[in-house]
Amino acid sequence: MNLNTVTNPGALDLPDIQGLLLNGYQGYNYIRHLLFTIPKGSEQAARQLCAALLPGSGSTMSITTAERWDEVTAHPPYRLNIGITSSGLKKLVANPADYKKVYNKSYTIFAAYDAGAVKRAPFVNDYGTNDPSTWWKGPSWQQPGLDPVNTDIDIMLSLYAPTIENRCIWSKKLNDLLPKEVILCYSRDSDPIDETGDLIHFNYHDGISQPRIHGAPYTSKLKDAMIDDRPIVPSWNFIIQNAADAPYNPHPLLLNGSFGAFRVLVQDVVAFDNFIARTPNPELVAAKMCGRWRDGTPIEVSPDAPDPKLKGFDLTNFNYITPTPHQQGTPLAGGDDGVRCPFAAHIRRANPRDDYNVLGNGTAAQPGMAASHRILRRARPFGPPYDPAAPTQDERGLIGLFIGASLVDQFEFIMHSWVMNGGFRQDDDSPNDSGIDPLFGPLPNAAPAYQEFDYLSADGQTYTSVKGLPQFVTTAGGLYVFLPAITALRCLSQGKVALA
Amino acid sequence: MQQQSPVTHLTAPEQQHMLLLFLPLKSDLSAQQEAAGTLNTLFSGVDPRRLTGVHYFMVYLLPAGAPAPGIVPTFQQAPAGPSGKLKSLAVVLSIYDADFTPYITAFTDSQAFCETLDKTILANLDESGLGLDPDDPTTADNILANGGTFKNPQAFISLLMRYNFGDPTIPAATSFGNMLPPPTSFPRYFLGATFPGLTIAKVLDKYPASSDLWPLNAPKITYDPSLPPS
Repeated sequence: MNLNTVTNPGALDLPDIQGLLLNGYQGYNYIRHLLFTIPKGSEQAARQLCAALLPGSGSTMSITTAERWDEVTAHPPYRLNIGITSSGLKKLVANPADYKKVYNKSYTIFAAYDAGAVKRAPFVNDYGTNDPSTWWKGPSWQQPGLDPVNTDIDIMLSLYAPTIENRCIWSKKLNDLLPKEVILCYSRDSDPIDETGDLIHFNYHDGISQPRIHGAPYTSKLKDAMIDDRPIVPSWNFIIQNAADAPYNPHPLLLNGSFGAFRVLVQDVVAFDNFIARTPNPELVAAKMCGRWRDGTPIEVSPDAPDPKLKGFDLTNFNYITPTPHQQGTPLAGGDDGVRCPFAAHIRRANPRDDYNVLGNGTAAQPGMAASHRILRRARPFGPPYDPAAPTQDERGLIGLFIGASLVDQFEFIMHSWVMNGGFRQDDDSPNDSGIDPLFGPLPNAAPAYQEFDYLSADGQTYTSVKGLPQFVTTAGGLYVFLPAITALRCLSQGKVALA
Repeated sequence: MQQQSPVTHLTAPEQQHMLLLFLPLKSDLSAQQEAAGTLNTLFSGVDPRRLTGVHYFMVYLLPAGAPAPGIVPTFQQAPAGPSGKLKSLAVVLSIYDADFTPYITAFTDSQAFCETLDKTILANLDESGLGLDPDDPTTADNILANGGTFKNPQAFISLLMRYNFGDPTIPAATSFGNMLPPPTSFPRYFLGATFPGLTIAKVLDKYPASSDLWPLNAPKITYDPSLPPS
């Protein structure tokens, strides 16, 4: 079956799926992430919290599902989602043997989650200045008496609201729902830094290219489907399902759920601005580093300047080697060997599209790496905008979830094999073999090849090396969470892994 | 890394590593010889060689009950399990590019290749008597019962690592003394290479007419006799 030709997609059980998996919650830009620990002896209170958050429980608030709000109700005043770490799941599941059953049945997608973000840190470059021993520091940590390194973070609740006032109102209502035995240990808000809500602190518009999920109602509207060139990705990459062609075996507890890497990424805007300011053409270097101009224009499509005429799918309808049907601009004959968009560029590394080592980009019949290594990004800015006229020491960056059915094949693979190592493209003629993703930057004391950013001249003849590339992004927190289906949350509220 | 000066830095995808499996096999093997030589054809329509990065592979079979080859008695099969049935031994050696997980998942992404792995490796493994938990999801029996390699790629990787005497973190180097930073102690083994960093992708991309000389579907090759030592 070629998913790109499917006009009547298969049904997803939307009322059972958490809304965040299929909906980016556009317009709900005031977010509060709350992390909790379940002290020993408080497991039943945590199960009661799960029960209270079930849709239809009669509580003042409940978990938002993927059910289309425009078909069931008016815009909801808030959206709420839950993630559970493996330490939390072990506490919620009453019988350790049941937890083991889930582990054994679903090993391929469960083992990395079970290990957790701390143990898996080396797989995503979280060492040195990103080491887990440095995580969860600062005023967002709510329990000074608890050492973050030795505290189980068990449950994550993320509240999305359309206004700051709404967030305040619903945070208060949520707080009233929380049992006192479940301890809030970390709280961080995410506020938009411009009116669009999609600007990040490095001053790029973000969140442009998300996977096009088969059968997902929010992926593309019918009227747009004909001009949406994005390959359709099987939904089991994001919603865990019992699908014959899914490369995993889900325990029933996992069905209609997913896994997420929750990340707190501090961005050093001053260092970034200083780095590009040292170059003769800072905006060009910024575009080469990202792969997009600040407004989101792909440099692959418009290599010389942002193109305000590009809208909607124009910003994501493109490839690097073989142009897509509706690709704008004039593609390079024979593909782009890094002339327009460097292999080092952030968006090329995070999603190499049709590059040489990305086999089978395009169809479900041959999904290959292009389909199996995509990820849903649900991260937004935190901290105040940086104002060079009135600089402050406030932390700022990105916070949120990177979602996929397989943490290993999706989040970890993208981070390790592509973002850090550039493994989608060998051979590469750049002087430093395209080093490291320049928007992340190297860890201190990295090899010299990582401490520069190289890009080609427009004629493809000469490399410019910008030396002294520093680390721009530092990991300040990380969790691997299970994003349970409503059915699974109901099971967990009873301490079980399957309903009777 | 195209450069006029010597190679002084290699990213993980450019490094070569060694797989060295000692696999305990059933005495009554089946279908174990069908895969070699036709592996590339299992990837429909695409050239997997850049991605799999396999430079060489070797399969050495010591059938159940066969004496150790040569005069070294320690090259032998694993002891029989509780059933008393003798085991065969397969030694698999491969030199490959990049880290272990992307190397193996380049294979396990292919459903057809996974079916071959199930038939040739998993169905023939004899893991009895090794002290494995019968519920361990990474045993060959449980992987097969759970849908095979395609459904359990991470379990398959864990299974391989159980029998891999190679270390996926030891890169091929021109000499032990040329490795930076210097290892604090001698690693489990030293893997020597004449051309560290010369990946399969570079061979395909840089060697003149490589696709003509070594097409994906290789023709039969006539090998003239090699001479043993006189």
